[in-house]
Amino acid sequence: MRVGRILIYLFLIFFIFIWMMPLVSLILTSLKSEQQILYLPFWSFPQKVYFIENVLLAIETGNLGRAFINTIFYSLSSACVGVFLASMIAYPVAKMNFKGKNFIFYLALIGTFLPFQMYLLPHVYILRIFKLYDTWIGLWLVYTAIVIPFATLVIRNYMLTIPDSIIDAAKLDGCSYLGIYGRIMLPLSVPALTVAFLFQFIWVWNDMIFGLVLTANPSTRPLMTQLAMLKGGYITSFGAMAAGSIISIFIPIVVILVFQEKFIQGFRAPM
Amino acid sequence: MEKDEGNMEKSISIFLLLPFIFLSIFLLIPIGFTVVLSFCSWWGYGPITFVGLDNFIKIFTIERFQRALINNLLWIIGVIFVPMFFGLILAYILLDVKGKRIFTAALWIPYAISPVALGYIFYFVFDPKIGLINSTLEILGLGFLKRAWLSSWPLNTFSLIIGSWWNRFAFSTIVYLAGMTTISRDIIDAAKTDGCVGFHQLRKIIFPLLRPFTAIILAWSVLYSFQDNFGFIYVTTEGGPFRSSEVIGISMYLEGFMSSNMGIASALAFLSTIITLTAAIIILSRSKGG
Repeated sequence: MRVGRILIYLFLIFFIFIWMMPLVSLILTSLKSEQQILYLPFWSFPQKVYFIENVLLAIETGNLGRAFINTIFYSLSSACVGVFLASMIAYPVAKMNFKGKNFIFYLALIGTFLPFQMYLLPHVYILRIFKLYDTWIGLWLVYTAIVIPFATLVIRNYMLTIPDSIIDAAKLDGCSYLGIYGRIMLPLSVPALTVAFLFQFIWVWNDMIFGLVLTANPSTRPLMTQLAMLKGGYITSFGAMAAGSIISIFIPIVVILVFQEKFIQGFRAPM
Repeated sequence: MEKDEGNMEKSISIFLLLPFIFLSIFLLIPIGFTVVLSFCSWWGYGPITFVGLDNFIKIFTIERFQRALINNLLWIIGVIFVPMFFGLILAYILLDVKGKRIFTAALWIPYAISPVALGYIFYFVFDPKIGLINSTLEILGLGFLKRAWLSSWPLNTFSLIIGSWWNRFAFSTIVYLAGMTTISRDIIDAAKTDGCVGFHQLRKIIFPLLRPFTAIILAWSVLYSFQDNFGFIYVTTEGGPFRSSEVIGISMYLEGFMSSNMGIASALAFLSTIITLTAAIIILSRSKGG
């Protein structure tokens, strides 16, 4: 039994060692200059570290500073507003009885089950019609709409667990539906709202394809799209690509590590 | 009571109005438009002409689309089974381990990394000259195994799929771990006293109980191989060389946004939706019944 335990730990440590390799290689690459990347052995630690230079090069060639600010705006605000809108679908669908309730629910969910490609192309024309192509508001509207379906699923399933007796008591006290929603359902659903917000925050942060298609210049583009542009740019630098990747994945990693439990709840939520 | 009914209907429409304006403009109408366009020929301007099943016939007969379809099927298979199998085993091992938090933290990291950054990471891993794999093989004295991992088919698709395992493996392990914490300890202990341990216990008792979680992994993996690998492939190979590592998502982008061939692009999107939905329906009906 003892030996078995030790073997399991040895296996896990070996596994984590291999597991972290890709990340370690990314970090090593970000520390080296182009010369060092080409001529030093791969696993060697450079004598002079060029991390700051690489970060600055990435920020300069990819316009990552502006893109970083854009992405903070996009991910915070569309996740917030999208989750709020989703809760407005979730409440009637979970707690009121009306005709076509399930139809409404599935209609709201449809975006979760279809690949993005299914609505990507028309977005360009819709945004052009409203003169919103290549603007902050245009991309923000699209992100907000895409946030709604999954958030609706998470929040509705949570609201189902809130006992009806609370709502009935409020009704007897003369509380309107709007009052029940604002004073009872929203405050009680905070755990689900948080889960939905976190998932969608990470999703918007990590998205690249909508930024690629719906915006055309660095002042509106989100971070991941600009990061992807580094490779095709006129200065191709491995160090800059690695350093740019590190600064752009930093926040999602911290958020996910801090809120692990919330994300696990999110995986249980669809049931 | 009647007054209450009318009141309720009014409130419901107030609640649903704003969210459904968003959903209609940015999801429902676009989805309908894509379905219609997939049976039409359109170059982004001028008239839209109905061409029936022409676009789909082209997808199945033109070589580069056939290649994308084959690659996409490889992606679906590759992204589902191996990560699921090892994810289940790893989650089972981690269930009883002290210091579980450290290990799960390490697992979460690739899950948090965006497809684009994953693309750069595996670009460095697979690079023939300066990459992780080839340099490590050299050090280990296995230089004869060195390959240009991303420059010929089918090796490039296999390499990319294996690269994506880093992220997929994390996903399935985490979902299974979440599932295993919902199984009551009594069931596992009862199985233990009956002499049902290890792999046998995993197969006979835990795996059947995790059925809904398996369904989630399956459904999201199919969706992943159509939408989320886009950024990853875009950065590593851009679908190349000579469109050999392309998947439907990349073909759709090239047709729709580079060649303005909206009909084919929509048909590609519609095709991937049909496959995803069929898979989702089969998976969900299986996981509910029996």
